[in-house]
Amino acid sequence: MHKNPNYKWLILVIIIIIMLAVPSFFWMKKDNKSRAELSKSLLSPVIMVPGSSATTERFNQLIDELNKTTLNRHSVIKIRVSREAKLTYSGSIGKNDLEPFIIIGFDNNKDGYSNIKKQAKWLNVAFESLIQNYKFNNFKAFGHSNGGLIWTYWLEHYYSEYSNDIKIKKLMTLGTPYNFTENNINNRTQMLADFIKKRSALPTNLKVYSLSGGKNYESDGIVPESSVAAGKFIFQKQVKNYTAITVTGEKADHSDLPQNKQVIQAIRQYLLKKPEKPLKPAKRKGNH
Amino acid sequence: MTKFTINFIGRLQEFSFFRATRRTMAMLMPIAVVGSYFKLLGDLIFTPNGLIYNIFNLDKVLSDHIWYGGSFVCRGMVEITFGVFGVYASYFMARYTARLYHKDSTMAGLTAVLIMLFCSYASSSGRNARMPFTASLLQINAVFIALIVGYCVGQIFHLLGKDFSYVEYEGTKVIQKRAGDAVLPSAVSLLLGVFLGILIYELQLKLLNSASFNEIVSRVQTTNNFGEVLLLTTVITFLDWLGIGYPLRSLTGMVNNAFTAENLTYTLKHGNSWNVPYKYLGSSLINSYGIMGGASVVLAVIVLLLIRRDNRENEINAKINLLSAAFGSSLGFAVGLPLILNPVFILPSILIPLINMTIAVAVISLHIIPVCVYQNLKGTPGLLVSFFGTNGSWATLFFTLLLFLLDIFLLLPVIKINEKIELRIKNQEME
Repeated sequence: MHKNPNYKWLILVIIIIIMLAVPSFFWMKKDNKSRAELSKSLLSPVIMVPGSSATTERFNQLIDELNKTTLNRHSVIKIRVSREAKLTYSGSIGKNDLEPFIIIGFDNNKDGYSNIKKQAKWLNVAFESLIQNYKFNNFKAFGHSNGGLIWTYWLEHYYSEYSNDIKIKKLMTLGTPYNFTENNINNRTQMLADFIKKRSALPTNLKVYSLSGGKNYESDGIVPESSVAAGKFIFQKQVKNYTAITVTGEKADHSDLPQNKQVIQAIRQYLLKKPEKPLKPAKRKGNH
Repeated sequence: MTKFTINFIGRLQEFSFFRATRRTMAMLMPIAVVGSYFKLLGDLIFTPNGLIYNIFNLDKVLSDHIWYGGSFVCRGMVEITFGVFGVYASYFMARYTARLYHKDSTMAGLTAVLIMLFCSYASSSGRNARMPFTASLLQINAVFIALIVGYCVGQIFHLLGKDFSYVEYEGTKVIQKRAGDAVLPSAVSLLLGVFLGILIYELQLKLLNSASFNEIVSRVQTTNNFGEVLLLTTVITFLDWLGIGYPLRSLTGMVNNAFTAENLTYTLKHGNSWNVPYKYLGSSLINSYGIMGGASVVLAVIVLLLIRRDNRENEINAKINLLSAAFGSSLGFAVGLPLILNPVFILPSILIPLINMTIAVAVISLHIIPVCVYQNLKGTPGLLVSFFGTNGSWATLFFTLLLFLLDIFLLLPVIKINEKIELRIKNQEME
């Protein structure tokens, strides 16, 4: 019987398959392991972005206030993003802390739409690094002033890369000028028009809270109330629910908002995980 | 029994439709092979979830320029081969049908192309402004439609066309006469084609685009009832044999729905997939065991042809398609042999997946192998789909290889019958 020359082709294909299968096997094991870790993770950070001209130190007072009343202190990580998208970490997550605060600040923290686009890109660099360093499958977002704009831009342009594995549960924006400093809602800025145009990219299971300050009847001193209220054109009827809250009284002007008692109360109530309730004996239902 | 089968299929093959189909497929084999290799290359390297792209971390290695360039070339080549396959198929089908009756075949081919393009225009008109034609009707996945159109045009030429014999030197005068002779059959065919186009346009008939089969596909993706899975698989594999590959193609890609997600979540939580909520999910069974990523029928036939070496053309065909079929890109061979619309392969194309799935379900319910829950990267070799889908269960790999050997064993008599029938056809065509 002749030797069949086709056997060498069959063997060649088997060799190619095996040569690919071996690295695939290890890649798959690693990938599936990290997926499992991700899905088991209980970590649910609050990621905060300050507004224009503010740094990662912007929320120190806010966090101190929040930590005063909680049993487990929330630990804090700060990430500075340089203009070249280099990251500088400081702080660490406490051992038993499942709800750390992560603050992302930018060296270029200037105002303006073009800067917000850049900052959203830097936010994405930081976010990508975060999910590699800390396994979490859900998080909450918080943005003061332009920080809220950066989050909105990020959600519309970058979030879809992660949405399969990582869920954003809530977004809280504080004095965020969705229509910049424009008083008249009929004059939509380019940014607002863009946000509205791409709103279908926003996740439908997200809860959004938009807080505004009322120093007088029109504004918080800097941002007009109507500009904050313009957020409804972006979120309403797209996300799961959209809640607008106006705080007045003491410390209701734009830059004092993060230290405002009502704001801190709202963060505790809406953004953070509720402290676990003491176990009550289950009520017995049934036949008398 | 064998004799009866051979006679029966041999008779069937003598029908003008099958004769013309065979020739058309033989002619289009090179196009399909080019398409399947570029598809394979695109799947492996130039997609974000490609096998080679991920395991060798090409994200870091390849520059954006090269990657986007490669991706562009692959997508373009697949588009001009598989994407508009119906144009080529209708042309040659009309041509070879007309030629059976000694009619002017070139004019018939051109008429069929016009009708295909018009129908495709009709089905996309007013819906998607960006693309002038939905490729769906022209796709290789709907090649059956193109063959029917081509065949009908060929038959109209048969009935109304003048007899035609080729002349050595074709001067302008001769060509003008040809065009004149073809006016009647071309006009009648076009008229009918326009009528078909109007039907498609007015009724918004979505002839054979994926939406028409959404119902079947979504049923099979979401059902956990094995009886239903078997029934739907029969329909889907029959359609695939017929040349309507949409339902099957949309199952073998990434299936991502609430059911697969629930299975995966369970597995990630518990570290194994033995007791996932949906053990007999249709999409997972078809993909991993029924079709086996193209290994169960196509690769098995190729291996048999290479081992038996009965027919030189088939052997070459098998050789050039071996690599792409091993990695799950099997259309080149399905056109080349052909498997599509080849009466010899109708039963095995349907039965082998059913047998494979039945055995797999039995073995899964006996807790010998776990359930496939993980998504595979694109371009994963068919025989390894279940192995990677179970996070590397060796029992599953062993089981799949045994299943593959069983498929080869089951296909052996089919290949023997095919050899006899091919011999018969060859003798007939010599006469």
